[in-house]
Amino acid sequence: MESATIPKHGKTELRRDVSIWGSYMWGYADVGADIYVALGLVMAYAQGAASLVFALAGIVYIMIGFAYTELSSAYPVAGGGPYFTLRGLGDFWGFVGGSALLLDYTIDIALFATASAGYLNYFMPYVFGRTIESFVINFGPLHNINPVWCLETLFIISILILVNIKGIKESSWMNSIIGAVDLVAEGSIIIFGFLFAWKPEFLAHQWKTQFPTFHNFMYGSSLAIISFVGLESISQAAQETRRPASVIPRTSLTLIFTVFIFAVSFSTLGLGILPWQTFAEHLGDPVATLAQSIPYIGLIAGPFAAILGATILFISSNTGVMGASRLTYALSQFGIISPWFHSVHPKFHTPVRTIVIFSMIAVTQTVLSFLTPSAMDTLGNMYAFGASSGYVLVFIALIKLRFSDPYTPRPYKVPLNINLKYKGRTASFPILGVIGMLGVGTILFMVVLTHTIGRIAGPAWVLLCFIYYAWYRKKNGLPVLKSIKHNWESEQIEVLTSAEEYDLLEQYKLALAERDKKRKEIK
Amino acid sequence: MRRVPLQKVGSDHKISRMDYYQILTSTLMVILGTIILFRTFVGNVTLMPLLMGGGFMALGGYRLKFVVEFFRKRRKWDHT
Repeated sequence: MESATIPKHGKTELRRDVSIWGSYMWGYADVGADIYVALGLVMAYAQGAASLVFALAGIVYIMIGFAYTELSSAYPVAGGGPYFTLRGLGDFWGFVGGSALLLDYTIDIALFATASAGYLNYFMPYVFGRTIESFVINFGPLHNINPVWCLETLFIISILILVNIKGIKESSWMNSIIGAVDLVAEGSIIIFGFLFAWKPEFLAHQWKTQFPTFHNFMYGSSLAIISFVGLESISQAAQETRRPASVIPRTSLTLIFTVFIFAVSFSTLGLGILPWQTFAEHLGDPVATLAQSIPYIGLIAGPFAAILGATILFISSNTGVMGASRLTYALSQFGIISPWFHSVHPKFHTPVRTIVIFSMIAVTQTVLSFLTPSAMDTLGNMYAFGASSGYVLVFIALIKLRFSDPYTPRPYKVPLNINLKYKGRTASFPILGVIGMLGVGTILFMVVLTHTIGRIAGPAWVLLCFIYYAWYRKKNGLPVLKSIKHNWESEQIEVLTSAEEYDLLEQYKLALAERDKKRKEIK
Repeated sequence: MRRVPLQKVGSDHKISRMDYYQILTSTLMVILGTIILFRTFVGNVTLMPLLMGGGFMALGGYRLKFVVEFFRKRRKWDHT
């Protein structure tokens, strides 16, 4: 590591005003909404095996969730995955993780705003007497362009920019209320669906006769990971959550299992009610299509699911704006990007520059994706690339930090560990971390192998970010491929103090004192 | 309910609205799991419904185990 320091700049803290329920809903509004988008996309490729694909991706997601729970409760800072990577693997890999995640946040804004508009379009035949598909045009070499849907999406993004510039408190409140309604609604669809509409023999028929090809199975599996993206949000919320070490494990584990159950239930239910082709035809509103097929409640459940879908996807898109702004805020604090991004609005206390810049990137992505035959598919492609590459790095960081930073108290640990002797002390090696890393690694491999747009646009984005990173670091006399010397110990003390985690702070100081004592004895 | 260690449970411990909600959802999970499994065995047996039904039953049952244990401990405390 080279001995250079981060450029000095004024510190303006973000507010810590997110409650337990708010923290859970912050994550749920993001991850819980994914199924509204992923159901149609995954069904289109995984066909009769869609529920299996959701379950497989879900198992990997549970392991990712465990890793995030451990790291977020041990290091409750806004940086999330890239912060863990930075701390475990150094500045360069922290930047790579950060750029992958930034891609995901901007895609999150674009994809979920597009999907939100898709659910609003459910009502278009009733209001305007024509479907959204009727606005499709072909323009020269470009086919299947839908300018109306694109404009609706851009309108939604502009509302989000205004909401976020004004402040987080309003957004968190909105997340909590609508998230709670969504929990009840999704639960009702599952209960009523399994009781009154689900036909196991129809599901078995699709499983046996409509099983996808190996390529489509891989494509579907890698897309299914997008139904579980968003744990990053709860980690981002850690910095703004009161008593994060005790709150984060509870909210995070509940979130992981809630989302897993919903994703697998919806796909199993869907294949037992409708043919997968119906979902593929309704990429914009698959959950509303499913809900309206349920007897007794379908007449109301269909439109209700459409309204709810539009709303929760709007919130999810909002978490993309919040996540991008908070991530850049965190990265700027560690000299990965310019402190210019670090600036907070004097009146609203929100990072206004990052909100505007990354929302504008999302606007560009939206416009470009609408120039492709399927905007949702294109955005989903890139979303899967960003998520899987970021998660691989988080797993590596989790394993590395167990060895390099055993002193930080971990209120929660990924299950299944073995104790190893390392540099004269015992380190806990996470077996599940390795399995999870291999799982996400496989998904990343499948993304690169099967996603034509994702494998080009994803690495191109990281390369573009690298050009900026290299320019910024060189300009400030900082190493590009090596790390700045960070004082992680005082940073950790500061973090635990500001988080009001005094017990953990005590444990941490005690562990450091014991280490120093041992070092003196050896000398 | 889960926030209070079982050995500390007394008759004065009140069941909150969140506890009632969790009892309700756990019971529903067991019922739903049973229905899914029953209908699967009656119709065509495939992997996913088996996992789904079994998963719901196991998770609901696991959560209800804590509820039963809580009431047992509280009754025991009342008698002593």
